[in-house]
Amino acid sequence: MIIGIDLGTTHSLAAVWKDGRPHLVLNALGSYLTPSCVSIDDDGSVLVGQAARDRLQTHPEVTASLFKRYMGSDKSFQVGARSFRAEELSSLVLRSLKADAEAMLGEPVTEAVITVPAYFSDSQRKATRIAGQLAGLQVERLVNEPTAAALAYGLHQDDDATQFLVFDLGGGTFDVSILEMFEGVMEVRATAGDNFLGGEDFVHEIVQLFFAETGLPEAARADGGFMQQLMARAELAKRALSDNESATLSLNWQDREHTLTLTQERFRAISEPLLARLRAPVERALRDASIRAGDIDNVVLAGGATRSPIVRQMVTRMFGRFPAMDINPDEVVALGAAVMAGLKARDEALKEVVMTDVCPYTLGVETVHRMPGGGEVDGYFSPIIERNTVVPASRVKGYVPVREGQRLLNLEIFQGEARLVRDNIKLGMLEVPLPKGPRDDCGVDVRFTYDVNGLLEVEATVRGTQEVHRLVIQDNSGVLSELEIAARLAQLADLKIHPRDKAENRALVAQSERVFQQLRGNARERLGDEISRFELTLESQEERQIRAARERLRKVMGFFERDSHFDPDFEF
Amino acid sequence: MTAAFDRLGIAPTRDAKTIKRAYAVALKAIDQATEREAFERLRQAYEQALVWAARTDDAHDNDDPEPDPEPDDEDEEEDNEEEDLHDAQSAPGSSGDSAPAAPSAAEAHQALRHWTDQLRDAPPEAVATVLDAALADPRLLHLDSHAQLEARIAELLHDDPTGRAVLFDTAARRFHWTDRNARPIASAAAAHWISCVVNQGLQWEAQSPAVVDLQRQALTMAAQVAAPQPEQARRFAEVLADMARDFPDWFALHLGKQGHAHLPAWQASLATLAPQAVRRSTRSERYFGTWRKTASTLLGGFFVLMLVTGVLSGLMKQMLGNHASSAATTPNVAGGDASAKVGAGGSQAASEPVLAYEFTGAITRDSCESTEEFVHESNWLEVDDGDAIALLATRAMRCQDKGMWARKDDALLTCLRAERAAALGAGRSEDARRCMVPGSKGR
Repeated sequence: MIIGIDLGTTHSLAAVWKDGRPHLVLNALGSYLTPSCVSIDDDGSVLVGQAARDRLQTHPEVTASLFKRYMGSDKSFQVGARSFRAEELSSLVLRSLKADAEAMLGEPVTEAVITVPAYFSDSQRKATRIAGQLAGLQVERLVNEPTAAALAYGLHQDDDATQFLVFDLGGGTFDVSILEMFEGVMEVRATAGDNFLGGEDFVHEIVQLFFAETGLPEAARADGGFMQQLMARAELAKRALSDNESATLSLNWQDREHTLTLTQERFRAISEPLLARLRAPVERALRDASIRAGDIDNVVLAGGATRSPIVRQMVTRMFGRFPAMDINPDEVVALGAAVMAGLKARDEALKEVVMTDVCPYTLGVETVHRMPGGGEVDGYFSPIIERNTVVPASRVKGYVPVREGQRLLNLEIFQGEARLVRDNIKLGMLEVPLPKGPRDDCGVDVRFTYDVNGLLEVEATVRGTQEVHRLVIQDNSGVLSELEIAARLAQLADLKIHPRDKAENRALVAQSERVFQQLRGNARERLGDEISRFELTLESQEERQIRAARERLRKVMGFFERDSHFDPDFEF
Repeated sequence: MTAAFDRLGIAPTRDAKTIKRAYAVALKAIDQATEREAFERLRQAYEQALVWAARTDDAHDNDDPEPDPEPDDEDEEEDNEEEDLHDAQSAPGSSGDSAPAAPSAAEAHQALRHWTDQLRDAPPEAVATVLDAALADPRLLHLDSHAQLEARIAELLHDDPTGRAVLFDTAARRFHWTDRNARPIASAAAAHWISCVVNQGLQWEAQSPAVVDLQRQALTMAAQVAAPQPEQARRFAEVLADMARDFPDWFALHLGKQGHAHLPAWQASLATLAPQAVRRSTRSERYFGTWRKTASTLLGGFFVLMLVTGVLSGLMKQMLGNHASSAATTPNVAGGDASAKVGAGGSQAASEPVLAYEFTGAITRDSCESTEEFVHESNWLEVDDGDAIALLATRAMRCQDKGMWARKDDALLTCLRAERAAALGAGRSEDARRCMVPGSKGR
């Protein structure tokens, strides 16, 4: 069984293709969304999901989040005594989703389709693959997130032929894809995006405003727990503004209360620069697909951040039409991943459906240019695969050495749209030794092959000798080698994963601890007592008693959590 | 063409629907992950068939429903837009969202006209503010409106670039014109001109800082001084000529109104200077700084040189020649081998580009006449400079588009177009080879 996974910046989901349709997988807490957070518990075991998210505020030093933003980089996250790379933390999230799917299906799961932002680079994609490998999942296919959303959406469309646009604003990334659908073929026409724009940036704007308006000292930024609390409150305020005219954030730092009242109007104003950034990728995708916004039959929203009314209004204004609302934007990508898994498994129900995707960015090599009349300047980007080429694609271009008698050619491989390589992303380098002889024989044919997973293979053939060289990525620092993967796998193996059947109790304690921290006075003491009582019951291992105690704690805590916003000195 | 249709398994047809259906059927039989080559062949056949169908369609169908980006046809475009917006407003909305304040087509049209006029007349220091205001205008929030504004600015610049350098730079930043594949959807001519200016600007910047500085001063000088003193002429006239020759479009854009007015006087001053007084600046000298940088890169390895498909062998020889001469000026290269510094044996190219700046700037009847004269009288066929040829060709094509080319069915113009296509990397067709002067270019 292949499962589909949406590995998101803030949340992750799993889904399976069964009985001719996609089904979302419930996690141990009975929810579809598993927060992409990892925490190390006091006993050293790993907590993933809601419990870890709650511990962001109470135990920031042993908890990690938003690591997807660092996939394919060498950044390491210090979590307690250990340090992790982004792909290791992602693998822990994947492992948790895998366990959920196994619990639902009653069979082991070893293969997965994982979604990635369309604009993920080669090394970010490789890191995602490695994360799967570290979680014991064979990654059958990487699918671009907007493409997955389009698959889920397109499946219910009966129209004979239609063009639609997927507007995918997730927690940390923004992608736009334009698709054409005809005769069961779902064809991605163009994709564009911004890897560093997402819902989290809107939260960040609120946090900035909080500092600016409430006179909260800058020193508070160093207080990890406090900042996580502030971010959580900003997130709540952002959501509250979807339905209410205004929202209030109130927080204590070093026994001083700081309060900010945010109106929708103000929020819109501070979000203006972010909203403006939504425009460029849409414009580029339209231009690349050479269609006008007016020719788009429908706009499909994906990603949690598209729930925000200010984002929806922006979309409506840009296209002069309301976006489609039929599928929950939080779930659409995971559903699409399950459709892809079904396609991969050649499911009978999907035999008339086929999807083609594109390479979203241009790939090429660095070249030297002759100036008009004389002189040379290096650093020019020579594209080999143009962006929005249908994949799989393989393209060859011929190059000659700069100088007569040159013995070595350094092919520097880049990705990007700028004319000069300095503004593009370097993917790696291939050294091609050249034979002795006239320059004409030293010409090199460079072949780029981009596969359906978005991974690139480079091959250089020396024309004179027909000698073939394949890319051995040398200074591609963001990607682990096979040896390193084996070592990391061994290290991860000693990590004790918190047992899944205890997850609900553990998450409840984590949540109560978070609320406990926000309370003051009597209320705080009272909740502390309730938590201790629950923990005592847990030790009894009597399932019936535990269930009753769980209900009790949940009720009490829910009460405190609701009220603590308004009156921190609430008396129970 | 039949090969593509064979691959799709259908008889040649102009019906896109039939082509798509055939493609869909064939596609479902292929596993893209494992049968890459089969997929690529199919995909290529499909794309070719669609292009062919569209082209044949055009030939038979004069009532092209697509709106033309030319300003004259705007009314039609607006009509379409109105329809789109009407559709949009009747689309079902959700209860949660307030109705969008969708700007009407008439308002958008009015706003476009307003801002184009504003930008045409804005002084350089206000251009950025005006453009920002235009882009923020709620009447232009619709995505297609921004594309239309961009197209109008591109046309405005292309038709009369004089004194609009700031507008160009601002628009280039806002509309990402420096992105490699970014092009306004406007007329192809404007798009090509923009890419020429951008490229020339990059090349201009790549010169050594001292030269860039001197050239900057020369631009200022030309704008300020109507009749240059001999001393000024000695210093700057040659520099201006260099720029006009090497970066013609960029130069025409940056010279400014005053500069254009004063330029004849400067040119005349150049002619009066005694030849020995003129410091003949060679290009390899001006790029020396860059070359030094290149040479240091060389220490770490070597690099590749882009071989434009179908590049002229004469051009190659010239590159070799220049290269060998520059190489002689470089410091000793560690790790390289001796032959790298030995002259390549190619002769120094005989002819420098001869296409002067007169052929840039506004398209007028006079300038087109002189372009046409140049194409028919001069030896441009012997000039080995793809950039210059492309420029001349674009110029000629623009004149022809505007009906300012006297000769009908001009064979030389056809040759020129083919040269341009070759210079832009599109390759050379068999027909075009006949244009060439025997022995001077091509193989």
